Amino acid sequence: MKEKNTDEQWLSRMAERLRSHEEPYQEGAWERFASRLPDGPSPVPVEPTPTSVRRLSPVFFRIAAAVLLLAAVVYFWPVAQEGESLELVSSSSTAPDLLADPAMPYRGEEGTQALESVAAQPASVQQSAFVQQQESPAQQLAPASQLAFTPQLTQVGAAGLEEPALISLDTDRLGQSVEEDRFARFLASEAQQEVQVLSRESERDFSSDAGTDPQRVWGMGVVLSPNLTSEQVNFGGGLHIAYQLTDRLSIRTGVALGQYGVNSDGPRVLPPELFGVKPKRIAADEGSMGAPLSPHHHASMNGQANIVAPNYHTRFLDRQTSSLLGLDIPIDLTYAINDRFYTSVGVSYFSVLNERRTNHYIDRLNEPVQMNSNSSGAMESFEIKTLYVEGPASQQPLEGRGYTGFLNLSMGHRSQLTRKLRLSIEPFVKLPVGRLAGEDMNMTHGGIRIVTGF
Amino acid sequence: MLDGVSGIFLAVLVAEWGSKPFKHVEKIVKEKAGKPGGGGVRTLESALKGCSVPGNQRYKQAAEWIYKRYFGYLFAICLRYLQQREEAEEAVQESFMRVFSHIHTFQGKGDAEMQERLFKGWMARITINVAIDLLRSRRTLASLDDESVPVYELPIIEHSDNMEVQDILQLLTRLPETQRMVFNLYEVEGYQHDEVAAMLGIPEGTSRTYLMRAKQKLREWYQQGQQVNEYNERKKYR
Repeated sequence: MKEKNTDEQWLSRMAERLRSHEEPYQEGAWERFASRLPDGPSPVPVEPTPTSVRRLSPVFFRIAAAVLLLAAVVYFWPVAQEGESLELVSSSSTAPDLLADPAMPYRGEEGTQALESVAAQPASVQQSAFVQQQESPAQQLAPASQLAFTPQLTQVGAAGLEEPALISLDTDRLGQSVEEDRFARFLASEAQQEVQVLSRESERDFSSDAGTDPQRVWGMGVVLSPNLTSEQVNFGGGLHIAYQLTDRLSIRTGVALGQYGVNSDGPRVLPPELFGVKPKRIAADEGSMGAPLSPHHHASMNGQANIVAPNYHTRFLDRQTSSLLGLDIPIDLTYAINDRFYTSVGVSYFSVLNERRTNHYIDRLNEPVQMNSNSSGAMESFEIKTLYVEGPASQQPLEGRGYTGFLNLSMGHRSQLTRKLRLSIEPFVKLPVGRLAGEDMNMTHGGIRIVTGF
Repeated sequence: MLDGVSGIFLAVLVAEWGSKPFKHVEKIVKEKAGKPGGGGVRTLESALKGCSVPGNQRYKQAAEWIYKRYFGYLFAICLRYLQQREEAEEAVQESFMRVFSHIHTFQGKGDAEMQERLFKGWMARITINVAIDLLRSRRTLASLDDESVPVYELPIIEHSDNMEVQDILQLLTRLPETQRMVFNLYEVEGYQHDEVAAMLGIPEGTSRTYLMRAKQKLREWYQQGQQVNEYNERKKYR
């Protein structure tokens, strides 16, 4: 027994020594292995694992966010704006994609002139001119990008973006082998990716490097925002200022003045006593007070029970509308989905500077009419007529009040018009929250915000 | 309406969480630009991430870090199964090829220590399979029998507490391949007999038998080695 225990202990010690043992690293092993290793991992895509959210691709989150936001905007979007939304999408999809053409970032004025000059020169001079031309776009991009490229990478990358004939010309001149050519193409593709990043950066409102280029960190613009409430089409406009937090995230605020035509949530029937009109009735079997009596109903009835007194007058407050002159001060967080599309969410402080509220009534009153009687000829009777009357309300309850007011949701498309001028088309929806949502006016509105940034 | 609003907020939160916008883009740009420290791999987590980024310099940096850090660990495993160091080195290279081609399937969790333990265990399983495949390709397990084992010189074995790993490996080398594999899988790696049987394609009872024989032989050789050692010690003091 003791011998067996000793045997087991010896074996376990031996196993433990083997488990904890590691051989020293053999010099040159990695170099031998690296020659067999491919340049990248397996082409099998990295599948998101349900247990680890951190391993999910950021692209997945961005697509999910975009889909959710789009669904929400479509859900809240007024039906009347659907045509405009579709038109916007189609116009953005047909817009020329600068990034799709890799040569586009280099087709500035200088680049075009230089290429034309190269074409005009004799063939013997073209090679040297092309070498110079290779360097110039990279030199233009390098300071703008604030990134440190190695000169070799930048030079070859620029070559990769030029026309293939010129590349082969340059390759022949340098006498590179096929492998070197492949390597150059690889570097060119890498550099092309870098240049695309740079061009995206230049198209973006603000720079990624927040500490070095204040002009690209801050942005100002003019906003014009036609919008639609449930009542009417409105117009507003103002200024906005934005600050770039990160490459994709920015915060913006501003001030916008707008005229908003809004109405009450639905028709309300108020007691007629509120309007100082007291109806009198003869018939005891008439409907209850305030109950609408249609002319058709009236015409189908006859006899005494149908006759009402001449001073019968009821007034119903059908609805209220209000024309608000409001100051909207938003603070929004903007997230750039890519270099062209962005989404925004935020809140607004809304102050009502002026209000003109109008009451819309439905008046019912009787009017004398001539009726023919078989026995006594013409007789005077009465018929209830319906009138729609509107008049200014005595009270302007919203005027001078401020609210923390709207939840702002938007999704925009931005394009670079000129070197210094950007244009953003941004469908938006504003949902009243807090006390503003509790007011009797339906303040929900949506529209298109047109932002010019400079 | 509240559902829609909360959906929007959720969308923004999800987007921000996934993209890590505060440092993510800047980090990638620095790494692509090759700035010092941008592509440096210092932890297993960063190495694993680097190996999941397709085709750039960071991939090879991360792979090199993993290779150099765990080469000795995998080499030691291979040496337990294979007799020749050249064979073991070949198995290590093949193991790393499989590791890097399937590294995206590894799911780490827990803190860094736990993650490293899981990763080493994951690599060890791959390496053991590679070693077994290598042995199978050399000869089928069915043809292996005790008589076909080449006889190696018995090492001089000190007391078990002071036993060198090389001595243990030398003892293991004397075992027939199947017995050695069963002993390694059961005693060292910690697999159960049913798992060992499945891995080697042998009946479970055979696995038990092989383990018992391996232990008997090891004990016998250990005692013989100790006797030789004691004899040498006495001879030295005369």
